[in-house]
Amino acid sequence: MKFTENRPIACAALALVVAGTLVIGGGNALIDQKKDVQAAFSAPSESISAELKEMADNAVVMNSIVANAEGAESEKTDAVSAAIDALNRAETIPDRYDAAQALNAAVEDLYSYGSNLKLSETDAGDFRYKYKNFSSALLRISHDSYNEQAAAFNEEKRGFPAGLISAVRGIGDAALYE
Amino acid sequence: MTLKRLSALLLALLLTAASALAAPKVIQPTEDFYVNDSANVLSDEVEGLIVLNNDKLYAACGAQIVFVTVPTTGTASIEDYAYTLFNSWGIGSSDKNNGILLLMAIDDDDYWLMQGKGLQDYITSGDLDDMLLNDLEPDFAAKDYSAGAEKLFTALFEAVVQVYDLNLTLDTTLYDDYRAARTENAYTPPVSSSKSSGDGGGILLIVLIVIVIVLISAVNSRRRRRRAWQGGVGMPPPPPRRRGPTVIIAPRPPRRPRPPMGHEPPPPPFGGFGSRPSGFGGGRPSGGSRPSSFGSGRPSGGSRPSGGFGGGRSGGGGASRGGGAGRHR
Repeated sequence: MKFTENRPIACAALALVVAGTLVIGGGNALIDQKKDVQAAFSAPSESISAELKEMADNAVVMNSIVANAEGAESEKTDAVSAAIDALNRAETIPDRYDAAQALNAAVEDLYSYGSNLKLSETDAGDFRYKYKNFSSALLRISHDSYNEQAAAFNEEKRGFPAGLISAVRGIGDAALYE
Repeated sequence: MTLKRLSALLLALLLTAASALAAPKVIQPTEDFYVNDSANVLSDEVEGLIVLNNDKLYAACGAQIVFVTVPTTGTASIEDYAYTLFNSWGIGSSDKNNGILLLMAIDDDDYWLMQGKGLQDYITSGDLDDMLLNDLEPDFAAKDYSAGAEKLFTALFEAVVQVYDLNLTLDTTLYDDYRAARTENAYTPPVSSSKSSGDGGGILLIVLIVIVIVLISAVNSRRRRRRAWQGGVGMPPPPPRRRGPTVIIAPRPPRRPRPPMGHEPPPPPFGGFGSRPSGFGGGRPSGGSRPSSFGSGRPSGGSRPSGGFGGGRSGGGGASRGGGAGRHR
């Protein structure tokens, strides 16, 4: 019997082709979807990444106001500087979350300290203004839908046959911002 | 099988209900839309100022400055309540997202002011905080809510006019017109709209769908059992035959011989009208796309419907990302 007329071999070849298409095509679709979710985190505006930058920018100005104030101690400003550096160096999403929490704590401390310093009216106004913008960015992060999108992707990835394909292709979960 | 399916559906229903209940339930807009004084602390004059100047602002640039008073926000934080209210009402235009909301919770002794995402970079939370400190807080602390609201609205109106470089001034001569219009038209109380936060309506719909699915599956399982009575393995035996005359079923006629190779009959005409039992010919019915395991992409926020409330004013579909400024303690 010719090779091409052997039904079992033909079925096996067809099954291999179908499986290969699923793994390659389906895997590529999953990878694209994960990229979309990650892009939502890192978008230049209206994203957690953009709000983290806003927080850092406002913290820098607040730090500068206190650092230039008469009689100010460097302990609080050093803590804020260190927290800003850690946020800028953080690479993974969970690391950025931890760094943002640390920055928030340092800025709250700085705000309490700076509110009791003898600042000029302009500096006091700017100090409060930047603090309000900092806090507002944090609130906007709390309402951001990134975590929902990441959780939805992870849930779909566990379904069949997505779970099998992602295991074969080594596609991991989308990291949550927490 | 039916019980398993019912349990799964009930679990899905509970989870959906739980998620629907996560956001605070907020009050609905009135027919005037721009002011809802449910705590009854604002004068008619201030309400008129807010409503009629908002009409001009909306016509000029789509911006809406909404003032809401409530006795309390309950267990929800004032920022969460304001965020939910802003987005459920759709304050500001959907393309510019240029709404502003002031929420005053009178019994809570608190307020929150937030802007739409389109105004975030132009009227920052720091700017809102300055306006609150200068224009609202002194009168709010003295419980003269109308006076504070009037000053704050004036400041916000001027801020928006500046952002869009509009040729508009605040009109304070319309109080009498507004009062007269309200008396003439016998102002009716707010009507709940289809654009409500819809928790109750959504859950009722889900319950109805569950009931329909359970009924359908129950009917289908009965049909399957009836078919299985015709000699299926493992099914209960069919009822005994009644005694009666023996009926001889005529034998099947012999099959038509196959035509010889190379002489296949011509295929039916395209569409097969009349040649097939279905009558519309051409293959299997297309059933639409199958549910995909690879996901269907990000849920889209979408623009909110801007439908009116029986002819009254309504939101333009704008959204906020949250944030804003509140009362200093």
